[in-house]
Amino acid sequence: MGRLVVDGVSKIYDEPRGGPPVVAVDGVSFTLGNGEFCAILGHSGCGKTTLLNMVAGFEVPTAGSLSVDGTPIRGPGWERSIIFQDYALFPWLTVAGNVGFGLDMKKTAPAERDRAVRHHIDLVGLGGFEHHFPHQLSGGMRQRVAIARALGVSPRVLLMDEPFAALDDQNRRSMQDELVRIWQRQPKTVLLVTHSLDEAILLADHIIVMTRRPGRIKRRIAVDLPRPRDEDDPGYIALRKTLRALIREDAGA
Amino acid sequence: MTVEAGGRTLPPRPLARSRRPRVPNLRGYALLAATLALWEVLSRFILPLSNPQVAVLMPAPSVVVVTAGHLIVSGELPGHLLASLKRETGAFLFALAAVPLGIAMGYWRAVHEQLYPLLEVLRPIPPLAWIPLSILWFGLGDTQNQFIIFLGMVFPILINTISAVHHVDPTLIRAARSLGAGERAVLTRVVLPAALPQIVTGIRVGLGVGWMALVAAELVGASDGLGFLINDARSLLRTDIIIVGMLTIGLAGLALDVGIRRLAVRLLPWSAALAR
Repeated sequence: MGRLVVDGVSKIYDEPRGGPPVVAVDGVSFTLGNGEFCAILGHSGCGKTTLLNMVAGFEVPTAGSLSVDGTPIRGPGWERSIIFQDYALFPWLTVAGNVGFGLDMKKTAPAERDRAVRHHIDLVGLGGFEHHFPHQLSGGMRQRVAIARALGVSPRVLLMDEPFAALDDQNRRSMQDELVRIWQRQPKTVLLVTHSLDEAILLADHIIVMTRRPGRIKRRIAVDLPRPRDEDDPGYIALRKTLRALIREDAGA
Repeated sequence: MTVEAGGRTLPPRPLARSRRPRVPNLRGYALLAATLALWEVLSRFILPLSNPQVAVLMPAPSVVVVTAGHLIVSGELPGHLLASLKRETGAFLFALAAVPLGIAMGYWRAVHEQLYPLLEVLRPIPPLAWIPLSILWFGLGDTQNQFIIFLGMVFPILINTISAVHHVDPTLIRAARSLGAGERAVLTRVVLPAALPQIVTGIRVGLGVGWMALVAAELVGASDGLGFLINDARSLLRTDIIIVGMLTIGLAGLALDVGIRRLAVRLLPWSAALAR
């Protein structure tokens, strides 16, 4: 379960000062099969975050439709939980409280809730930190909590908005490896928004490259490199070159 | 400072500020001590000689201390303090209605639109300006007193609650929604706790303003309480009692504020850590 269909979706913002309307996303269509990991790659301002917000249900498309497993998307919900760049942890809740929040919202039975909380805290390697508050954790650990919280509700599609952009290089790299490990243990449909070529290649099965203004799909590329991926692999280097050329073209236009 | 992933054995960082060994720094009290000494000498020896009538208006610190002792032992001072605290508490319980109201005004634009102009008009009116009208409405007595105190408390709590809700990180609300939270859960489990630290600030300010309004209200229309005590002493020309009363009002106000602050640090440890 976890088939995301985006069909002819556009988003047009009215310019408040009477200028011409801004076309943020223009006629985007794609389908993500169950368990596929897809990265949307593009410059800032290419509408990738707007697209993610529409999948999350925070914004309503001007035209087109979105659905998960055949059910149209109307507003946010646990079937599409999201991992934010700035973690968005609840500072008044402990690690266990944060991970359990979504399960409470789903009215999970207490025993099942506790089991799921423990399982997901262990999954991200934070066993022993259940009773810590977010401010007592490092950035990387906070993002682990956010991953455990988003996975805890068993979403059909997991959304990620530049999830590791706030981390330093070393931490980012280890979190990316960690995410691949978690995803391989618990395959999930994932939609990741990023501006980092390496992040897209390291993580995703499919990379959707978007153009800027209006935001359209430029190309969809399948990544068939074995995991864990190696930056020195010739296939990796070739793919990186291709992606960079696609992105450059757009910036020059 | 953070706990790293390897260091599981590290205990959570203590939230209280690190305690330095307390050496009482007496130097800071030098001027206070000198002033008290000068006052003592003036009131006890110089004023009675030069102008005995003025001397009555300025009792020596030692006389004030002795009077305070008498008033405490006789139970008179604790009785008045209790009466005042009762009024403050009663008014506070009503003023707490400003919290849900403030959350509604901060969260729903329509509620804000309707109520904010009313608030803008009422807020600048000092609570004391309500005394004449409130006497006509409620008569002299506890209800009227508490109404004045309530007016002193309600606006700081309301304004701070509204602002607290406006400053809740919208990403937290989005996160909650994408975890399945409905409107009610967003309000009670995200907006309220996120706003709580600033609501507590509003409550601290409100209790302070209420305490000031309380004394004024008791000066006019009460038969007990600290405000009554000092006004009653005025008619008897007992300046020593007046000063004891004033000091009690000050100390009780301070204790109230320190109490709330300590309580907040205990109940909201995460907020104290964030504020640093």
